[in-house]
Amino acid sequence: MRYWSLLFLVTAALCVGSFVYAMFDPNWWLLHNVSVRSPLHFGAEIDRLTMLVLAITGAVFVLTMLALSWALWKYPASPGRVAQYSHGNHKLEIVWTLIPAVILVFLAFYQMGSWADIKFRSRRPKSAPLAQVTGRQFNWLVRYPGVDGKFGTTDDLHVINNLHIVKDQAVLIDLKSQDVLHSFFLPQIRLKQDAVPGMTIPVWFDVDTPGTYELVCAELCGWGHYKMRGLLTVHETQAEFNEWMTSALAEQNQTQPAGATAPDAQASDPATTATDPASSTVERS
Amino acid sequence: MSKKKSPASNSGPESIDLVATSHAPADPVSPGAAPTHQDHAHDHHEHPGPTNFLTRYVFATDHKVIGIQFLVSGLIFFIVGGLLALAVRWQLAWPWTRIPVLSSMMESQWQTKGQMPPEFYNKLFTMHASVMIFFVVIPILTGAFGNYLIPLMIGARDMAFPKLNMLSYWFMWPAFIVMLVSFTVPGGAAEAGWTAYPPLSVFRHSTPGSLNGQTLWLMGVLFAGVSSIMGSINYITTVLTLRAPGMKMFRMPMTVWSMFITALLQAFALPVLTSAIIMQLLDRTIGTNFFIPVGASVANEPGPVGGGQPLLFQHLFWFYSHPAVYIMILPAMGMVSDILSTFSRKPLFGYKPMVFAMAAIALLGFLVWGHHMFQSGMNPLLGATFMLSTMVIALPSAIKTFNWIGTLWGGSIQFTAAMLFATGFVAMFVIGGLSGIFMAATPIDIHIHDTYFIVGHLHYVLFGGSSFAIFAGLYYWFPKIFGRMLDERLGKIHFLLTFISFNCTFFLMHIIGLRGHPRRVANPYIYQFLDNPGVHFMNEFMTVSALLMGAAQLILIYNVLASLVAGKRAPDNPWRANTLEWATSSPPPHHNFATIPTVYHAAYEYSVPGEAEDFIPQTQPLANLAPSPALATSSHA
Amino acid sequence: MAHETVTDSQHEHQERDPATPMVKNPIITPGKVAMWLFLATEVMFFTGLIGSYVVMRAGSPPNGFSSIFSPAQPEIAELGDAAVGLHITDAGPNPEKVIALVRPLLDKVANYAPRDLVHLVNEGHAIIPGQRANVADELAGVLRKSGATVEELHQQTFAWPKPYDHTTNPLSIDLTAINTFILICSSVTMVLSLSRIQAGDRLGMQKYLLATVVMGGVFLGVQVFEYRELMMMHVYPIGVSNSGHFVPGASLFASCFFAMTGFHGAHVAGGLVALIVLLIGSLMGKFTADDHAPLELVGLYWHFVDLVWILLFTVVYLI
Ligand code: HEA
Ligand code: HEA
Ligand code: CUA
Ligand SMILES: [Cu+2]
Repeated sequence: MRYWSLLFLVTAALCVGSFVYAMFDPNWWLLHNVSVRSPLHFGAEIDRLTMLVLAITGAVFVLTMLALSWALWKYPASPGRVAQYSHGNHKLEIVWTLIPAVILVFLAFYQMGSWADIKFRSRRPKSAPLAQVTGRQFNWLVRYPGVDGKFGTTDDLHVINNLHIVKDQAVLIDLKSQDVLHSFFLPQIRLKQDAVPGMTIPVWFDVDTPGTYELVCAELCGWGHYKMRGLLTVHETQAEFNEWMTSALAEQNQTQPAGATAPDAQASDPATTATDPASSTVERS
Repeated sequence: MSKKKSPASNSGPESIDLVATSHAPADPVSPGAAPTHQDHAHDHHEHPGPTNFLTRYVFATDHKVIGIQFLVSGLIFFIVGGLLALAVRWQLAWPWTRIPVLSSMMESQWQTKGQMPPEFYNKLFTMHASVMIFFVVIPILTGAFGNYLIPLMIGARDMAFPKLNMLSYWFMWPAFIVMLVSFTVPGGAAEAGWTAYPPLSVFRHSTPGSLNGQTLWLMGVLFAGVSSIMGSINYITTVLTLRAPGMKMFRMPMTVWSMFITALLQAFALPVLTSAIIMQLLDRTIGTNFFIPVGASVANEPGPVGGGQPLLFQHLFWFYSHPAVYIMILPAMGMVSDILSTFSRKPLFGYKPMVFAMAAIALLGFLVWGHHMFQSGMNPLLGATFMLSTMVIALPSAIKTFNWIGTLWGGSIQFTAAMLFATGFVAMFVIGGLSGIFMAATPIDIHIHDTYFIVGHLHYVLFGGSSFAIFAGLYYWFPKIFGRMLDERLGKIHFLLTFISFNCTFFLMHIIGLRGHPRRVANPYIYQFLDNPGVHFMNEFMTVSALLMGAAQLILIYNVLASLVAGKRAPDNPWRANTLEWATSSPPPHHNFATIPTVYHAAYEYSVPGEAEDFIPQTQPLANLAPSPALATSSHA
Repeated sequence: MAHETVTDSQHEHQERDPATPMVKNPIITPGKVAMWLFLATEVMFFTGLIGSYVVMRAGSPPNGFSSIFSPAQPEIAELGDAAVGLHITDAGPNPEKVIALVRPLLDKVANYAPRDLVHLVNEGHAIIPGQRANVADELAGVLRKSGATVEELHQQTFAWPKPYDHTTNPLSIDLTAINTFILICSSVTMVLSLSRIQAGDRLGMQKYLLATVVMGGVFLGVQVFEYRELMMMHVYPIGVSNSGHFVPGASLFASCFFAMTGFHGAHVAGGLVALIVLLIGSLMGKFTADDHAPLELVGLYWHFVDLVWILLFTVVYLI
């Protein structure tokens, strides 16, 4: 029954085929990348590496599947057929150890540079953080330092689920969490970083196109994890951003007398308490 | 020590007829060659295997019965875990719609017109993964096949410690019970994912499942872990001390090697998980602060004193759970190696490189845990080193893959159901392994971490890998275990449908994951970039395929049940294989062998030129053999 | 005696399971292999615990270990990193004056006041929890003037409790040192017991075994006593615990202490049970010069437990 080999061959072809199809269907493929022409262009870097690895693994995949299918096709049992008697081949072993070894070690070292640029703390922009983003079941609390440029003062601007930045500016963000783990995921910028309570983690990126992009929480954080959605708004110019900032501050002062403490404590989703099965007894040791 | 051992007899003649089948050895074995020291048949000790139902089948100390117990409970939990997965899939394709059966069952509790509440979704995938990993794949691979095959394949009468073996199975039961019960406690089952990251899992009010379910989950994993530790100590000891005469380490079949290395892996990795689990349990129960950072709190409660480190748990967890994924693949690799060799009628290509590759995977497996934590906030410098070690660990896997293909090459391939699943394993493992390369690359992992790309990867290695090997092993050893043949035709249909629906279910996950579809979300369509026809189509297609895959398993269930009742009687060595388990009757007698066999050569002498048969059991000296170092033995017939 | 030995070994021979090991070398009996493996798993388990301890201690935020900057205190939550605590290490020649100065401050955090004052009077030192920096500075100045020695504790500079510093560390090193000595002695008697039976002297072996059991029991007893003192009897200053008792939830230090010594204690208890079983067995006539594997194995375990304790004692109490 050598025809079984076709099953493997066809499957491999369909696997490759579905990737090829996906690349041509914008509803399937990688999201439009908005970190390409910006100075940092991390997004472009990641896409480039993805394609490189896709090509290498794709080639390895096709070759191994061809070999497998060929062996199945060529050597089915049939009356009178006797299998070769061989316990192995040292030369072959060496060849197929060395070649993948070279490829793999190359891949590792080749990518270290990009990784360092994107994540090493030593590479972060020297500017002061633009905002603090704090994860909290199930919202993103965004805090701008306000006019005095300092966090923790009364003129801070608090926004929920909305992060505003300016195009082509490398922004630095302090990522925090108040309760459990969350993850700051901007698929269109190819950026992801977990938010860990008790830690402040710097995150930096930039965007080349003004617009509104979705901010995903990518780390399981409880029953409402799926709906912890935020928005990243990218302004064309600094002036536009300042305008937004002023109006947001004005709005905040209107709803809240100046000097009041952060709205953090009230920011929780009303449903949190509604669905929480626990009684409100405080458990402390 | 030895005094405490099973009081059960050595091989009295009565003990053989456990099931009345032909037990004349198919192959002429010359028992005369066996050394004499092992046959102290003292009459006052001879009695057949236990006759009492309870001691024979329930509290059995016979490794074969224990293996079957693990197998049966594992397969039952496979259905449970699979049904949970189907509910997951349903929700992803058609969020918040009524689910057949489940919705009606839960109607009174959900009070939402049959829509599942979001936390229930989290319970579903948490318990799905926990059941599959801790109750299905690990128990079946090591518990069932390991238990059943190790003594048979090395020519021993039983495990070194039969009572410990029994205990190891019965320690699974508290785990089973606790996990199942957790669905019914206030707050329901755990919902922190199978990774149970704190502080979500530690704060009791962070999410309903953390109220009580998480405690039960931790206890379940603890029990399962203790069971595995007992098993692994037993396996290592057995392999080291109870091999039949002539069974040198480098004559052992790959299955035994893989179980041996896996057991070592378990013995060294599991205790670390145990300590992590216990710390989390203490955090939850007596108020310690290991994983609670300063200042964190949920639900507007004042938090505890804190001071601990959530990331520490991740380190400890993955220090175990990365080796654990190899615990789930190494035995599969060993079994597949044996099956491929048998049905290619060809010696395993590169036996020693295969063994060393396995050992390398086990060793390196301890150095790569951080690749699950690239985005966790761990020092990125560590990320770079973990990327390197992770790339390196792909190397032994590459060696194995190529050696498998080398085994097929030039063979005389028999396409049995077992062989098809074994070949399927190779193909699927390649896909799963190659997707691992994307994630090992730290910059790429930034984008795909915690997306469906990961889910795709893990199902290719765990379902296409481990589970395919389980199926292969089932088709291959079923005749030995139960003395009946499985229906080959149904087996091939089962393979065909499973293979196709499996790929349809999981391959698109890579694509949808690259798009950014996060994992563990109850309703992806909250996000606009996912609420489009392409993603909807993919999710629905995957769900339909998953349903088909579930249905395909009904064929297996039917096949197993029907064959148990009315299958063809299995001869002792239906596949004409070399290893020792085929040198005894099907099923084997109470103490496995009438006389302990003597082993003359390694396990893979197929199609030896100049021999009459294309296989030469390990119990049979080679007649005309061109001396080869691996085979050298002084006792030619 | 000699006669007995022979029959016993014959009996053992007859009882041997038919699954005779290929390896006849008595050095690697299944029992020993399994025991070493078991110990390896235990080593990994304690590595998990001790490793975690080291990581937490080295890597926790400075304010992580105790309740001086407890997040449960509303002022601290507000002040964040700006809070400063005071550590009065010596009340100086004029304790009454110091007390008078400190009292109103401690009264503010009402439930701590009395016990910190008591501590100040008895031991000459006290902790004043986190304050606004300027308030703390001012107070420190006044206190110093009245002769006290005061350390300012910033969240960022504060470190793990030091041995013998009773305002933050309630552990009694002296008592535990004695206890450690007892446990080490029990290891010695275990060795002696084994060597007695190897010489065929069962009575001697029983005596030493009994001594081991007694000393193990004493060790455990002292540990239980220590736990009782810490968790229920004493009321410690705020630097040790918010609630006054040293309980697992009091601080990260307390969590580590109880988890590590607790699990060690459980291991000692397990070892004691095994020893007692051996003792009873030997009283019923088991064990001879050639047949005492269980004794050897349990002895191995006992030494392991001992070794772990020496490590724990060093890491948790002494450093
Ligand atoms: C049986 C289980 C199994 C196995 C065998 C593997 C094997 C591998 N895994 Fe996988 N992994 C999981 C189970 C497994 N994994 C699970 C369950 C998770 C998710 C956990 C969770 O978060 O829930 C996970 C997650 C996971 C991550 C974390 C991703 C993330 O969360 O962001 C990473 C990252 O590096 C990774 C990498 C790898 C690699 C490099 C291998 C390698 O060992 C693969 C090696 C094999 C090959 C490469 C193929 C064959 C080789 C060739 C054909 C030769 C030539 C190849 C080249 C030259 C490229 N895995
Ligand atoms: C060995 C491990 C294993 C196996 C076999 C499977 C099998 C399957 N898994 Fe699972 N899965 C995991 C391990 C495994 N999974 C892990 C570790 C995770 C990560 C969890 C986490 O994030 O914490 C995960 C997560 C996971 C997700 C992601 C959830 C999320 O992130 O939101 C999904 C979604 O599609 C999924 C689907 C499936 C499906 C459809 C199957 C199918 O292959 C199942 C098919 C089998 C059956 C259906 C059983 C047979 C049933 C019958 C015979 C009864 C009759 C059937 C019918 C009537 C239809 N799994
Ligand atoms: Cu926040 Cu998920
Ligand atoms: Cu891993």
